[in-house]
Amino acid sequence: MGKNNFKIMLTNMRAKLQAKQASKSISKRVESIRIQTELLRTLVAVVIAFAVALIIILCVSKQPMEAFKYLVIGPLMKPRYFNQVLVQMVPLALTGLALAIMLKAGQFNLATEGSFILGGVLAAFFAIKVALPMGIHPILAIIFGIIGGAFICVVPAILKLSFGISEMVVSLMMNYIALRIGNTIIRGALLDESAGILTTEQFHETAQMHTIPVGELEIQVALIIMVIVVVGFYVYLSKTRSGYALQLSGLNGKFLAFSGIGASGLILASQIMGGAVAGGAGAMYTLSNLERYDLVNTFPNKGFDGMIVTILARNNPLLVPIAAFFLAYVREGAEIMSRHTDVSVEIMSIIQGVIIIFVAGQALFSKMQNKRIIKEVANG
Amino acid sequence: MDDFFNIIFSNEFLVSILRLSTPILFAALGALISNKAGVVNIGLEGIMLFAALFGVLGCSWTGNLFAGGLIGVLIGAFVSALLAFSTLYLKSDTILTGVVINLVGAGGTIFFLEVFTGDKNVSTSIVSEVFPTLEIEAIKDVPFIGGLLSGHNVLTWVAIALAILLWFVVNKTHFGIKLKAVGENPVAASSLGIPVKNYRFIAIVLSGVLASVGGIFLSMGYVSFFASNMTAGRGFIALAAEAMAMGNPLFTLLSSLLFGFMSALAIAFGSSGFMAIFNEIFEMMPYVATIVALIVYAVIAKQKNKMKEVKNGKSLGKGIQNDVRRRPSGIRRR
Amino acid sequence: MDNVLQLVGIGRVYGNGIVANRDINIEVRRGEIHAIVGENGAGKSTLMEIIYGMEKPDSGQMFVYGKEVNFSSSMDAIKMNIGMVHQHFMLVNSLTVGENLILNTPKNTIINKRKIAQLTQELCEKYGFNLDGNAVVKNLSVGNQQQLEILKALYRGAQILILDEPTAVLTPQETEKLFEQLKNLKEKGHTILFISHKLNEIVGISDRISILRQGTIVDTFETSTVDVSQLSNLIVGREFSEKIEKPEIERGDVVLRVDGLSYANSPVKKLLDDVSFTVSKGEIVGLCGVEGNGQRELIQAITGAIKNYSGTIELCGASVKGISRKKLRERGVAHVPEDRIAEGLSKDSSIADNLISTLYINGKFIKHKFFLDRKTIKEFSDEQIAKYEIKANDSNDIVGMLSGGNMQKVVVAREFEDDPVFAVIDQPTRGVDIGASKIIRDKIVELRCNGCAVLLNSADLSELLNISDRVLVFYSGKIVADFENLTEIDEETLGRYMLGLDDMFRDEKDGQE
Repeated sequence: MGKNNFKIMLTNMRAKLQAKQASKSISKRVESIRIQTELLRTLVAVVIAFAVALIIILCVSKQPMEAFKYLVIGPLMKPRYFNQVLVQMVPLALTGLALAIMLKAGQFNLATEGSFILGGVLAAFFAIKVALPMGIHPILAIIFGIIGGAFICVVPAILKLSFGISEMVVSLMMNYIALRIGNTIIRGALLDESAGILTTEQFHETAQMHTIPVGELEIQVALIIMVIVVVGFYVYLSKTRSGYALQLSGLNGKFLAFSGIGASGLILASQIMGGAVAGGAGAMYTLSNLERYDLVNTFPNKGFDGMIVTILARNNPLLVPIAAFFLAYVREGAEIMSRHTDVSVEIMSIIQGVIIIFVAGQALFSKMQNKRIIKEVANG
Repeated sequence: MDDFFNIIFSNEFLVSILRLSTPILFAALGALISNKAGVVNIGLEGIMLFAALFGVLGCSWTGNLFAGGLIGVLIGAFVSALLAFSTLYLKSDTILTGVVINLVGAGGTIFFLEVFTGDKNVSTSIVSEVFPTLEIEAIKDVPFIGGLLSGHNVLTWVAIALAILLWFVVNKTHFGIKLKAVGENPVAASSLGIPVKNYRFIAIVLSGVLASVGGIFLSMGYVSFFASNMTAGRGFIALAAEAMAMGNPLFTLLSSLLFGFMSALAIAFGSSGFMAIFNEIFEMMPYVATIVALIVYAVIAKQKNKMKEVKNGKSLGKGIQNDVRRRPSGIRRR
Repeated sequence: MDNVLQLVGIGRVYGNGIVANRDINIEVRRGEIHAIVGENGAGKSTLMEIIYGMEKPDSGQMFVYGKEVNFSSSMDAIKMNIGMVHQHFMLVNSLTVGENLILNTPKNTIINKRKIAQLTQELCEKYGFNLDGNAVVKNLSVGNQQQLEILKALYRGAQILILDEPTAVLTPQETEKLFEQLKNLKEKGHTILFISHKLNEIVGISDRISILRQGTIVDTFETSTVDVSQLSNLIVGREFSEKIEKPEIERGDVVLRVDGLSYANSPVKKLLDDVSFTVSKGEIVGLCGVEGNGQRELIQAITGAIKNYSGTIELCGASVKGISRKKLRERGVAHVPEDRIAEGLSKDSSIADNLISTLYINGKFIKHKFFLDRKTIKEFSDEQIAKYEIKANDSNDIVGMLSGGNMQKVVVAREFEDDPVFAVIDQPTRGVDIGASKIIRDKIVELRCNGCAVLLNSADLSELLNISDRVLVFYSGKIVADFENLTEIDEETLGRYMLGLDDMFRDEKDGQE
């Protein structure tokens, strides 16, 4: 009896759902098919990536189950761990957003890595060389970082507009130039001779960015700023006139010219904004997490990581923090795993790689998607 | 100061230029071949790292230098085949995939390094061999000539030979012109029955193989170990060198030497007690030089176009928009 | 058995539902020059692509030398000795002539420069061409590039040669030379399929003509049996559309004044030759002519796409030379572009976003200076969707999902809603279904009644004659006729002017010289 009732209920629900589906417009339904395919692809990518990780762990570890457990649920085991996820998430989300801004305008600028580096170094410079009261010090340091970051990303934009040089090649060069400019600043002005390694002097206490205790978590101020930036950018794109034009320029440049909206200003603006966000990310990362800035000769890859976030988020600013959270979670999981077991943290780079290859593979499931769309269009 | 001049006028300095140029040249030739087919291979850095690591590992497993090198190159080829498969068949964006290969290369090699050697930084705990250096006793000590011809690694000579060979292949063989057709005008190529995807696949894998040899040169050329991130951006420098040479293999040889010279100079500065800050500036020079070169090319091209217009008569149509004659740019954006 | 090529019932429908070809039947005889004519969008290119194996037909059969074929790529067509010269050349610009010639036909792996130069020389001599095998393609003139394309096809053994609008890019001299070569090839036994919409050329060179209208072959006949004016009637296939209600109104002040406008894109080819006319308030001026006689360049000059013309173009008394699109729009110029998808729309954006794209610059739909007023935008968009009967569920639908007609309605709605002073309307109903066409035409007339000056370019003669107040006929970059009283023109007269057989102003011009 109960079983029957349940069945009827189920049929009713299905009928209602179908009616609801049918009432939706075709383009909405097609859109939802697209979203479903994207979700499916992401899910499959994640599953495959973790399967690959599991296989590798089984091969290399003496305690594979233990390791896999830490990898998957490690970050949820202690508030401290989860806090670390949030800490890692901030730069990821910001560099992801920086790239998304430029991609939205159709610009393939990869200089966010350089912007992140120079933003960090300039903030460090400000944190060491200038003495200011508590509240103002980090703010000015971040602004300094933002300017540095914007500078790195705007060079490719200017060269593209005035000479037609591919922004991509120049942006790659700018990354190295940023790295070397940063090192020059450190070596020239900030080095702490008494330290055993090549690193700067300690930052002024006043320049540090602080955390706000919320329950058992320590929320970084940077996290709050990140949320504001994400929301701000979402509002900018969907609500403001300039954001509207920016998106049009990325979709159809010819149309933009036809409409009489100047495109070159937008190209410049998008890359200034992107560089600014990446530079600010570098500055905030430095002021929130470091006490000294170490000299490096290779990229920290924080800016390139943003690319992974952007791909996962499909360039959608609102999805960027979610993608960043996911990535930070995986990384923290790998971190915890490596601390507790014999599997090293770098396994997460393999997991990431597998995920991205599948998520970015537009051809995956595209046949299935097209079939469904054709069916849908034919029906409606 | 004297120290510095002693260094840069020595035969050792010449040798060091070639030593530093070699991996860049290999990778730049790799970048060139995939560029010819219209694919920007940004993943060279990651491919080099994988090859460098597995060359050393292979050598220690097999106890044979060449078998080790071969394993390294095969792994590099495999990684670039993955890149090719992903961009050509899964239709993922080439640039994004290349960046991901680099990120995986940076982390993945450390992971495997630890798995196989128990160390996360260097592979010194395992035994690997080194490709031989060719000393020519007779002229070894002759100034300049000695430095030019003697004391170079066998792979250095291979790299130079490859640059010349590649010039020949690109310009003088059917394979070469088909590759250019695929890169420049894929629609035309396929209208003549050239399988565009296959050619691109081959080009990407070849570019991976070349970069891999550059990778194993780093870990098996002068040293006998792999160190984490030992490519230190040479994959990107290679892209710069290729861009500077505008796709000519012989010019690529020259631009790679220029980049090698800059690095050698930076090292010479460092070891002669100069302030390390100059070191940084010298390291930065190649990138600045590349950007300047690109600007110069762009200006020259603009000038040429203007000349053409003047020749055709100014009043007679500057405005013609003839997309048939416009060359598609080698780098595709999304 | 003299048919080298036969198509039976060939049809092709594109994924977006556009019927490019339907039930095409055609026979091509050995050794003839067979012209295929039709307006743009009649399906000529698709047909050629089917024959050359680039497109697969959805229905029908194709026979080459009496054998049924099923091409899966152009390689198959090449193997059956079919060659094609595309409108956009299929050349690799950085390679030499010889290298392009032998591309993918290897005899050995290494290229022998001397040998391929010799080969080029031999081929040139054989077919009466003149090309240097060592010249780099990007340095060649367009005419020489085309010769190379023909030679390329011949080298690959082409017996059936398809030429897709070969003269569109050529100067008259180059055209003449090409025709000589084609006749030469015909004598050697080659069969040539020639696509064009230039009727005098077709009459000059072809043996037989097939007419393509709305995706299908409506007639095939010997060239000698028709004259040009009959031909033009056959092509246009005058089917009068529904009469448009058009109240008589007073013509107002001059809005657009074009004076002595000339433009050339090469030393010998004048695309616009001393064109002068005016468009006044409350007047629709139609541009008429076979495509490629200067109408497009005129519109480009007016809308700023061409800047280096001589002569003047004035809008309300002030020159528009060199001013930006934005300024042009601010001065009240609306433009419905010919290529609505590439230029007129952002396909991946919503209807609402497309509707406001040119309007928001002037401060409409903006609140607090920086923000879009989404509420007003929605109201406005819904209003427009209702007014122009755009078939969509709501203003958030993506434009790319709409049909061609509805896309065009979006463009028209946007351009007409800004109270323009002057509107340039280019091919408003091309590829648009009848229902949508009617709405668009009504709106054009409404615009004119509200006092706007309208310049209308359309390949659809009945549309032109129905809604214009005045028609200018273009031939070879000149205005050859200016009809004020449109009820009195018949198609025959119009056709004669369009083909350059008559010229209202000839005496005048002769007098000047």
